[in-house]
Amino acid sequence: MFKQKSDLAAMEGKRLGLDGIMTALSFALLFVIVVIPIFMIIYNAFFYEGKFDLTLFTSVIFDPENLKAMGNTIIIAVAVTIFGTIMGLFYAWLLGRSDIPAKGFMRALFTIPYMFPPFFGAMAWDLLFSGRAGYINRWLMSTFHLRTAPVNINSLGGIIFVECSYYFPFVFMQVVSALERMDPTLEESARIAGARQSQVIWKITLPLVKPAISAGALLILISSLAHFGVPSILGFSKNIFTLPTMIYALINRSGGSFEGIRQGTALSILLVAVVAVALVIQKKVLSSGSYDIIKGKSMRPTLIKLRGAKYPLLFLACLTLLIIVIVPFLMIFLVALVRAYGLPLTWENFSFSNYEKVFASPATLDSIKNSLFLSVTAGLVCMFLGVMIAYVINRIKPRGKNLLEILSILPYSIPGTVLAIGVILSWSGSIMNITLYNSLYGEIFIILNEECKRVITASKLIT
Amino acid sequence: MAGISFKNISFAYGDKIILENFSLDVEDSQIMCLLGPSGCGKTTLMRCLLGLNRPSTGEIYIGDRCVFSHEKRINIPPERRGVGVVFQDYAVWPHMTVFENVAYPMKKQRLDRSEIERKALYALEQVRMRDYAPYLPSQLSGGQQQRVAIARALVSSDEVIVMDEPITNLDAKLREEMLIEIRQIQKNIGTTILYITHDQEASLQLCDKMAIMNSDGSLSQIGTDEDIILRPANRFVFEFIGVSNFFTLKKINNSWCFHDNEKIIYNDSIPENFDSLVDMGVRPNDIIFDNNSQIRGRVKRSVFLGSEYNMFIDFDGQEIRVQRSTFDDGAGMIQEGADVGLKFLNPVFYESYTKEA
Repeated sequence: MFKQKSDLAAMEGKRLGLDGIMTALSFALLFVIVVIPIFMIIYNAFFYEGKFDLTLFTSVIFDPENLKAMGNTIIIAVAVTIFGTIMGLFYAWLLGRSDIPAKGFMRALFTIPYMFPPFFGAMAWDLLFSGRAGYINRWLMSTFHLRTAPVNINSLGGIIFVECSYYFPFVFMQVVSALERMDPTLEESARIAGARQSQVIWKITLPLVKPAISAGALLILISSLAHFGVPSILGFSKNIFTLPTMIYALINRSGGSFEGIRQGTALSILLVAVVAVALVIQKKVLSSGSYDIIKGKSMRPTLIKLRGAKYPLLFLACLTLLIIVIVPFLMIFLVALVRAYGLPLTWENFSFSNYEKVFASPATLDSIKNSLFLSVTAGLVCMFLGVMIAYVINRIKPRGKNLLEILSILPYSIPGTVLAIGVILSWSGSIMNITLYNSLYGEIFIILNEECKRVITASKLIT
Repeated sequence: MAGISFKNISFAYGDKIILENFSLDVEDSQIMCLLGPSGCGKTTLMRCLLGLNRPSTGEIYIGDRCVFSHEKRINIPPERRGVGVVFQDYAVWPHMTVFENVAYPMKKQRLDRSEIERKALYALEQVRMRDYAPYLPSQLSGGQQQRVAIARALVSSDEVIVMDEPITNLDAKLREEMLIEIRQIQKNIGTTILYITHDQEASLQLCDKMAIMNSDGSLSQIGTDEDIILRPANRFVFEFIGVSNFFTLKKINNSWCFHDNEKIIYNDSIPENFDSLVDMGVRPNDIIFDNNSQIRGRVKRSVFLGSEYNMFIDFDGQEIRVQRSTFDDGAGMIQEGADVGLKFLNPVFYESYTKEA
């Protein structure tokens, strides 16, 4: 469908309408919250004491350890994107187009991983399968008299598995909603034209949801490239680094010295470059096929009868839910009950004392307050800004729309730690005065700022 | 070549019964228009024929071939029924070009390449869309997409084509052209067409036979267009097929008068089988002006529509629609506000809806 320019103010003959103001505001906002911090990162990576200096940058980039981290980042991101997309697509189709029972219930459960913080799952899986210490590994070794641990979660494979289970809902949700909005007569008329059910899926349904698949896969790819939580929890102990965890490690090792921050900035430029390539590829893919599939009466689509495969597939879906939702949740809950770390999970080792400690501590109350304050304010501010920027890009379409779009999507591709560095570098007055920002106020501002950027990006992607 | 035959089809969405023991025969190589108000079950019937809905009783035949039978447990899947279809919302595949859309059904029939190309381009020519063959549907208007859908249906079956409101998005001139084309193609190939619509003008132009469906999903009348227009089987058909005026008449002391105003006497004859109350229906163009008539009204509004005048006449509080041809003597002379005498020609009489007080 052709979209029309809708500048109502211009039509009414005003020179500077609401549209103009919003456009200017969008540019100004993104300049302040995106361009300046990123500029500061670039500046600090390439300039030393006011002079252009490439030595640090090249030495960081070509450091074999860092190259390894980059390789890991790409392997993990690509694998997570591929497996997560396949998984999301499969379950979206199963719940959207087949006659599998308990659809609404399962659909709600399948979106839960989306709400879980991924490091939560990583911790649970670490407890279960980390080398010789993991609970299940220990049990398997003692039961089957094995010398080595059967499963090692502290590996690239483990990281890929855990990230997959938290990122597949990106594709799942996109595709489920595309399937719902799709005019069922498109599929029906293909059947009537002589195509078998399987041919309809390949030739009609899949191509039609392709834009939704690409959009979801893009989210997975970018999120995974910039993801910190899972590789940090599963990778640190075995020295498996990705770019985001490496950046953190560099800053951490140097004890917060400026040198460490500079090395971190150099590496984050590399990360941004990788993400930028992913963005360009994605943009090409997306623009090649965009069409309107929302039409027609909202008639219920003909559901595909699974017949004999119905219950095996239901079992598979339940098993998936058990593994990705229930097991990690239960694990974390149980471990919190254990009196001391490492004790076996038996009844006599359980106590509520950990929970009591947590709830009695004033720090907990403070952190809950902070969490609530941050999420509510960040949510409100982001909703407003995100909608405005999305509106400017998609409806007003000013000159420089592409620039605006890239700027708004950029923060999403930068790991939080890097953005925070950029913000600190930009707004702390003196660069050496970083300690100032260690105060809670500073943190709140930075986190809020960063959250805003992420949600702005997210709402942009949704529209 | 094949006719279509529905035998005792029933279908319900949950508790809502749409069709009950519905039977209809469409003769071989004919265009049958299925006409009915919206929501009466026309589309449901079509979906049963296509194999998209599964009826709970009955049988469906295409020619000699049974495509559905509840008792014999036959339910041939849509892809093997060999029916062409034009959906109300076109259902043109947005990721294929116009040409690919039209070619797809023939590809599935495994025709060879050159044959597919020839037939597809010919069909596009017939719907005036040949120049658009390489375009994507998103580059076309609604009417153009609709024509692509028609072309696709035309090539997909030589036997039976079902069309569900296929020309709603076309302008008046194209609409007429399309109807003529559909008629022409049908004559050339001899396809059986089931044409579903609520637009009676289109069906009058197109059909060999018409079937009128009642709002409750039952058939009211099947017949030629003349049958249905001139001899409507019941009040539903009479009201559905055109504009109508209705008057309730009442018998007092052996003479008929108007129910709302008993002083006005109706002098013309009324069938013997009505004794106290009767509803009389008259078409707008069957009302003429006669200054000697006792039935008098006042012209409230007169609208000039080119070939005719459309007049709204106030008759003792009731509004009557009257149409007079422009070529009638003196039709244009009647001014708004004028007092006129009315005469009713060709009235029809039905049992009254009004209950005696």
